[in-house]
Amino acid sequence: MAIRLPRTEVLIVGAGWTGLTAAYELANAGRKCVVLERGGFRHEVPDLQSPEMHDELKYGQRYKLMMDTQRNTLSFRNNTSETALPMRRLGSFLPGEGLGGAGVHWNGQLWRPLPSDLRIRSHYTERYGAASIPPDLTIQDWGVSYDELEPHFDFFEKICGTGGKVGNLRGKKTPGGNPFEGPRSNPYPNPPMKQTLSMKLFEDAARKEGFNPFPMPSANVTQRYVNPYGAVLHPCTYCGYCERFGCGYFAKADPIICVYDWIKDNPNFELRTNATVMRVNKAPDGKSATGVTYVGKDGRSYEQPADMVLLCAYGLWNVHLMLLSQIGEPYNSETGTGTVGRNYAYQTLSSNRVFFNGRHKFNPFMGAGALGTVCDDMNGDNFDHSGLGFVGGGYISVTQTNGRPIENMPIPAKTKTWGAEFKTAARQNYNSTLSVSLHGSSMTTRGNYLDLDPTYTDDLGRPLLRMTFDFPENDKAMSKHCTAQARRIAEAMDGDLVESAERATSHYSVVPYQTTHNTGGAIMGIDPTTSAVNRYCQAWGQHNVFVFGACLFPQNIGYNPTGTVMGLAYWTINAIKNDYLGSPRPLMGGAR
Amino acid sequence: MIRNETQQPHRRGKIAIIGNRRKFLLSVGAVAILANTSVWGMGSDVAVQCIYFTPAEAVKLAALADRIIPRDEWPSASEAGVVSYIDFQLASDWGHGQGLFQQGPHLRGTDQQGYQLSHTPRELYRLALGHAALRGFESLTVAEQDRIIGECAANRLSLGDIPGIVFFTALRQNVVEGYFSDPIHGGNLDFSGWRMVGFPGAHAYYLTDVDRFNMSYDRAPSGVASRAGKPAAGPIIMRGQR
Repeated sequence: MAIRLPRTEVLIVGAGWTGLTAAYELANAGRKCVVLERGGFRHEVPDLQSPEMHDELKYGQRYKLMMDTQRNTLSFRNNTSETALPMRRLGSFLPGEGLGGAGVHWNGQLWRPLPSDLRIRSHYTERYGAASIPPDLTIQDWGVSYDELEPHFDFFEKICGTGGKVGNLRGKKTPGGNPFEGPRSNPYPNPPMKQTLSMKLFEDAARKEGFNPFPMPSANVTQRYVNPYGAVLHPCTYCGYCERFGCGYFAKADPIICVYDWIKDNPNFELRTNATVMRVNKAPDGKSATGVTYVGKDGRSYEQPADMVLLCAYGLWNVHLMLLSQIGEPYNSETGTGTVGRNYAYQTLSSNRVFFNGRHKFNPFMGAGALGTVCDDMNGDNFDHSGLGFVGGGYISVTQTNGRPIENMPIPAKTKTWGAEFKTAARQNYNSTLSVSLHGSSMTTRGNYLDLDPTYTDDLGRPLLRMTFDFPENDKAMSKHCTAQARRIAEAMDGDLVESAERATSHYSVVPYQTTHNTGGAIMGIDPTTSAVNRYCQAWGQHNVFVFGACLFPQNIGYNPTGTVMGLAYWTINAIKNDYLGSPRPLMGGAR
Repeated sequence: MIRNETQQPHRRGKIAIIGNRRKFLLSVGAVAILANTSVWGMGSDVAVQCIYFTPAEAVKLAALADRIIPRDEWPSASEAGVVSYIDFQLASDWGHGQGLFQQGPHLRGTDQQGYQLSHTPRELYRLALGHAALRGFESLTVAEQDRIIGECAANRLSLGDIPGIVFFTALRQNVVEGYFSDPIHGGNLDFSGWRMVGFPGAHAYYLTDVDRFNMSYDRAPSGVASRAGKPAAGPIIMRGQR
């Protein structure tokens, strides 16, 4: 029997960017918040300090900051004709665990979506006709506009002390920034990061080829900065231990230093770590949640009653909890009905390696997670899609994030990966190779989805989440087209050899690392038959359940997700604070 | 340097296995790297005290690892401590399956579904090294050794229920890890892997250098516990070691 605890007003599942931010805002609005985090407590001091943090094996290869796949994972298959098998080790993506969640080991590449991204089906239909959208795609509008989210993007960029160059200030194009971006109400709070040789070569080649390069927006802070919550951030040292690592320098914005430290002493805030939520409990009529049941540090079961429940776990696990708790109708891929698990998407990546064979010294170990130069010319609908037969695109960039040698030892594809040949090639190319990458969108189809596995369970006896995913034809065509454009820039860099490699030329695999940008499964929208939550990210059937994270994305954009995730988070928090709390109810009609 | 003179180094003379399982039991908690690294590349011996491997396994692994990263003007894998490194790893939580979801049924999957065997890393190595296909591997010619590794890499050879590619992938990954990870883990002796490619290691301040184009960066590497030329005092004890 679960031990019943005293009631709280707000119960938050997960202590990452979205959960801690919701707690900050609602605790300061006078609401009692309890945050349940399945991982442990950790903090910049002492847990993320150098030199101990600068251990590639421990953090970069053994994933000490990530979720524990020995206890809980998901199962995976490419399509429904296969039997899904457990992802027995982390590989393709790296969800976090512990205070701060994946926000501790992110890179800090902080983007907004394009205005047209958020109304993709309407946009393509208006510009090219409905027939321009491949019929197997289940892409849809988000139900929220860029203009509605803009103040929230702007605020989160200030929370992170983001560095960058504005390209569109209140509708006026400004040189040096991204000419394709939506209008910004303010410039970035900090200047962009420094420029490496690799970035300079890319910038020059891109200009020569007619592209519009600009510095990548970065949450690796470039000067001393105080954020709106009071956090003091320090200049990035370009240490080269960013993605997969925590930042001991208070230089990479993360949820611990930017949010947690500024709410932890508020009497309305309580954090419980090592607390795994088993399910959201529903009222007998099923029309609201009554709280959650969780397993605590002591291994015992607790029932935590609450007035409202915010699902702020990593997107995949929000979907898992909704399926386990029957929040919304599970998606059925055969009939195409149901919504929870629908429209799972990922990211479509490719690279064009340029080998300079010792003619340059890039010193790749001098790096930062968001140190890069970007062209947005091939992203979204920034280029003419007439007759191309696909939707979407991606940004093209050169980044210099790290030179950690286990992970990064570029050798030409024809070189043997072992033996004397490998060793010679490793020496020769380590310091003189760069990659012109495509970070592409991921469109949704009926056959790519999430549900519960019929066979495998986690350590608490719950069915694993089951992922069924392969690269859609649309994204293969997008990758081919946009990678060829990226290759033009790579070839203009005067290297000795250019090698292209696309992920989406064959089946998606959970083995090689690609990116931790899993999206969809609990998507937002304005139609309860095609979205799991409404445009305020409120569950259609249970008005006191709100969902956060990239699981809300109806399909994935060509950008890193955190900026969009947090824009949506503040949008939802705003609706809760200014509308819902005064009159708890479904914020949109159409509840089933 | 401690050597057990009763134990003959294998015939290529690069590695001496010290002690036996019983001696290992006495040395838990103070696992020392015992290596003469000052003259690597000159036919030096590297002594390895194993926690997990038997001497016969360690000799075989050294021969395998030295085909993944052979000696040239820089040390071979075993000369750089890779055998000790892998032994430490297999003795650690990771070797026992930390981070590995072990629930059955263990079915054969597609390549895209990744590792699906029931073996933990330590079991995988024991089974593979003990398989008949690798019998006497350390005594073969280099060409014969390369042929066997190549058969594994091409997945034309299986070691019992272990597909060759699975063993090759694990071996190559672990050898590269041992060659290029921080010396606190037992490999990368004398920072040789890092010096070979010019990686400064755990050093982390490049604010004034990151935008200096084509800069020759020749700072001696530093690790979590020591700097090149300044070895850590006393035996290195792995934190969290079982």
